[in-house]
Amino acid sequence: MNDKQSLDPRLRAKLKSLETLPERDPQVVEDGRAKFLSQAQSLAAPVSVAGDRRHNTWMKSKFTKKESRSMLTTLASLLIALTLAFGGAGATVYASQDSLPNDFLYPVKIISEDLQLALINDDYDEFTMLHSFTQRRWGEVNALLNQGEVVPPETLTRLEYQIASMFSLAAGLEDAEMEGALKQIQTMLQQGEKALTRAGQQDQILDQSGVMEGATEMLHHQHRVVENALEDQNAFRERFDSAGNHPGEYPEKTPGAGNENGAQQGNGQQDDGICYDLDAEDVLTLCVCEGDPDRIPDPDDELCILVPIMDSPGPGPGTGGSGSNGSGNKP
Amino acid sequence: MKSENHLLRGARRLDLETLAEIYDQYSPGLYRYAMRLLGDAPLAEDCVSETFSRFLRALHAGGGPKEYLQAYLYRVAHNWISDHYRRNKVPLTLLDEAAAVDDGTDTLQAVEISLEQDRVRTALRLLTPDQRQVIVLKFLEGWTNNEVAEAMKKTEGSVKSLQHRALASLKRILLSESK
Repeated sequence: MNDKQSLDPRLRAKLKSLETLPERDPQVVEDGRAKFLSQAQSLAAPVSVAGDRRHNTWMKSKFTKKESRSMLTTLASLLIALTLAFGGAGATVYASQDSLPNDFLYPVKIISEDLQLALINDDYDEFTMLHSFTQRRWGEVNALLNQGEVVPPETLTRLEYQIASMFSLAAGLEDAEMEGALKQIQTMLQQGEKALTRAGQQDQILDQSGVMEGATEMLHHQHRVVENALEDQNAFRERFDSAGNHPGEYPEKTPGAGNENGAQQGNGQQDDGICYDLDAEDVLTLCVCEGDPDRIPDPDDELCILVPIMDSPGPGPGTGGSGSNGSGNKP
Repeated sequence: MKSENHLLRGARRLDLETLAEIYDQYSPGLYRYAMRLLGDAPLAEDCVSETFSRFLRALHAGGGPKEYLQAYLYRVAHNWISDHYRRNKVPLTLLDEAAAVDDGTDTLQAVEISLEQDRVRTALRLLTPDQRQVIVLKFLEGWTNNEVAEAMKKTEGSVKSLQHRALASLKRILLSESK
């Protein structure tokens, strides 16, 4: 090879010293191979078998008891309690999962998402779930545009923060996982761009062109972030690690959260004056915290009610559906 | 030997037979690559193990290589080693370290080889990650410019440029030391 021939002979001799390597231990090779195939086998197994992986750390938390039943069931109970707290006796929890940003039950949907995210301790699982929720946001934006309705700026802001959170989570993943995560974000952004372009060709969004321009610009910016990240993963990791956004943590307060109808943040606080806390005994404390955003829900407080979390009889509310608005710090 | 595309199709299905074949085919080279840069057998084994583990997790997440499996695996290993370097500071003293003295000629020779290897590894660590990858893949693994470019997701022109700068740096570090 020409390059090799042009290599300085003294340098070639130096590099050649690295060609002498001790023999590899066959037993270690065999063990490594077995470990690799075992991991492959476990990944190839049905999702339900991987339950141990998904909630390992969570099981060690104060919520240990709840692992004995499904997350969805617990969530159903929580949402029932929250629905009661909102005073909407006739509203169903299930309906909230299909609500759009301007709907009354939309905050319930947002809280349910925040709760689900809060109960995950694995960065990769959290990324996957957040990715799913962010796709919902796009679904909501699409649905609103198709209906000729205005997309609230809060929804787009939340969308932006969710994508930023996905970047933070991705930056905390192993290299190969990070690459997969970035590609998922890239695909999602491409779909978002297409949706906005499509919508831009319709008359109905003329009255909100400013908002949509902002969304398009935001998308382009994030697209560039992904492209740069795929080019240089280390720089991306350093940037998002030093940005102070620890993977999985939302900003102090997520913009775009909530609307005039109600709930917003997780972390036990909502801007509609309701705060909540789930204790180790599976009792949900719901309190009126209006005027005191820092208030910690206290079960002995007369402004609080205690709601034991029970298994609901039916299946939990679907997590699919459309939109949400509002936002969430993680409880 | 099956083609990379054929292996990748099986890998995406998490087919165990194919994955075993991939391991058998690429693990020795990856170990050699890691060992040359790390100089520590258990560490090199860790690198190989983690590389294959990340490969699996990427496949499971719907990612992983679309083509050029070998290039992908070396890229993952390279990233692992670069991360390891970042976490562990460069032992610069090795460059000036005197050869150990021993009575047995064989042992003395082994020590000398070992020290020489350490010097070269340290010099490689002083390069940028990209320069290091070009040097190792090209001059130690014997890859072509095209193969290196695929592994690094760069153009052949960039690879040549990296190689030029890397060799200049290596000369400065290693040959001036030995004067």
